This record gives sequence, C-alpha cells and structure tokens, in this order.
Amino acid sequence: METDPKLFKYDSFIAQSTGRISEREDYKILTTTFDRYDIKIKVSPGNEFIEVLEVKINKDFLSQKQRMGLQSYIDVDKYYRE
Amino acid sequence: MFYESPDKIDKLLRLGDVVKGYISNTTRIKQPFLTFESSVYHNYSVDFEVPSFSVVLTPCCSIGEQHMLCLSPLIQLKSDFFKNPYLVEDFTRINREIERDKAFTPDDWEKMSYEEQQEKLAKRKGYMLLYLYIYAPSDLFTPYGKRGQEETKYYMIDFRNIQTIKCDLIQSRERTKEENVQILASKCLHLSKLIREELRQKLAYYFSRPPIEDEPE
Repeated sequence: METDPKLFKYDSFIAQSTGRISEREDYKILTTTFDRYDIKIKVSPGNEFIEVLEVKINKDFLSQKQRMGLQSYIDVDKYYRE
Repeated sequence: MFYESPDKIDKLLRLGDVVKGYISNTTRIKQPFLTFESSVYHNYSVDFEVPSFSVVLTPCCSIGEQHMLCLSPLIQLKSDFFKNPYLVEDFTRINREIERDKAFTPDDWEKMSYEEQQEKLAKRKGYMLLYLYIYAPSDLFTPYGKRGQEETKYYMIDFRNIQTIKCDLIQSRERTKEENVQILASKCLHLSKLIREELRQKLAYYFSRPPIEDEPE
C-alpha cells in the first residue's frame, strides 16, 4: 500500500521537528575509565565508536597532594599581622 | 545560622562548642632539657589564665577518650582585618574559600601590577589565613574595639594554639549522663551542623597540607 504523500510529509516533519532531533536514539553515551581518567564517549546503537565527548580526572585516584590541590590557599598572612 | 538555637543544643560536648571555665596554660622554656645543669633545668615558666571562652577542637567521636579535651581560647580579631571592607561585612568569610582579589585590602590590591592581579585571578578560590576560624557575634561575647573601629563581637580561634585539658567529668557520649551537670553548664554555644562541617573542613585542610619537602622525588 502506498503511503499518502500528505501523511508522509507530516510524519517526516514530526520526526525532524525542533526538540525531536535531540531525542533520536541514533547514538549512546558511555563513560569508561582509563588509568586515572573518566572518558565519556559517543557510540552508535551498534557500539561503534563515534567521538570522545569529555575527559576528566577520576578524583578517586588522586594522591593526597593532588586532592589538596583542588582546595587552595591564598597567602595573605603578611597583610594581616596586627 | 551560625549557632544552633538553645532548644536544639545536644546535651553533650561537640566539636566547635564554645565553653567556659577551662584553664589555659602557656609553658615557656629557654631550650630543651637535655642536661641537668641547674641554669638550664630551672629556666622555664608556666603561665595560667582562664579565658572567658574556649572552643572544643576534639572531634565529636573522640570527646571523652581518656577524659581529655582539646581546647583553643577565643581571642579578639586582628586590627588589620578591619582594613578589608569585604571582611568587615562578614568576618566569617575568612572561614570559607573566597575569590582571590577579596582576600586583599583594596589598597594592597591596587598596589599590585596588572600581571600580578591577573595571575591571582586566574587561580581558583582559596582559604585565606588558614590557621584562623572566626566565631560570629553572640550576646554572650563582650564587645571590643580595634584602632578606633566600631565595636565588634566577632572572636576567633587560632589552630596553632590548641591545648589539652584533663577532667574526669569529661566522658564519651556513651557514658555521658544527665547528671553531668558541671560539664553541661560549661557549654555556652553550639555550632549548627553546617558551620561545624565548615570548621571541620578548614581544620582538616590546615593539618593535612603535605609540605614541599615530603613530595616524592
């Protein structure tokens, strides 16, 4: 049975309308761990690699010194002596 | 809210509590006692005082162990703090990480070169005056003035000045009983949970900074 051209256009319009495109599930986002990094990647539904989205340090692997580095100190003691 | 309302105060001592009635002492020696020579052996002094208020710095879960308590006396702010209008608005800002330019007085900030300012602004927020923790005003505190400034009721503790006191009445939370009235009577102010966590964070940061010498080669 042939598709009614009017209905086809409508379906196509709805599928590509604003707000729908972002919901299409033609990729998945996975987070994987490598060494001390958390890497967020985009893969196809068939798990084929598409691109790297984000690389961040996994804080659980930080040494004490590196963890301390996330907080920091402003050395202004000499300005507030009295 | 800096202090917990009186109806919500725990009936036991907690980290950060403001207490009264505990002796503070300062022991001075000229040099370590490595010999029994009388000139060395007798060259020391011990000064006692009873500060109006002190702050409990023993972690909550360790309070009462061996009937000991770590205390730091509440002391007046330094007069230099009043030169910084950002701090004058709320001195407890010293307790939290702040933007780097706010840690300087406007005069000191203006004296810096543009490059120096940009270098500081590029870094993230940080703690200033790491060894100090400010206590918000309370009706219990005596107002005082510094260098002609308006009177204030802000006080502070110095993490470099922590002492231990022993008293058999100081007991762990499991053993604390209602009749322990003298200890409860010494408790004057109780920090809110949020502020106690803030104190814990700054205290932990102060004591856990690894020195450069200990960095792995």
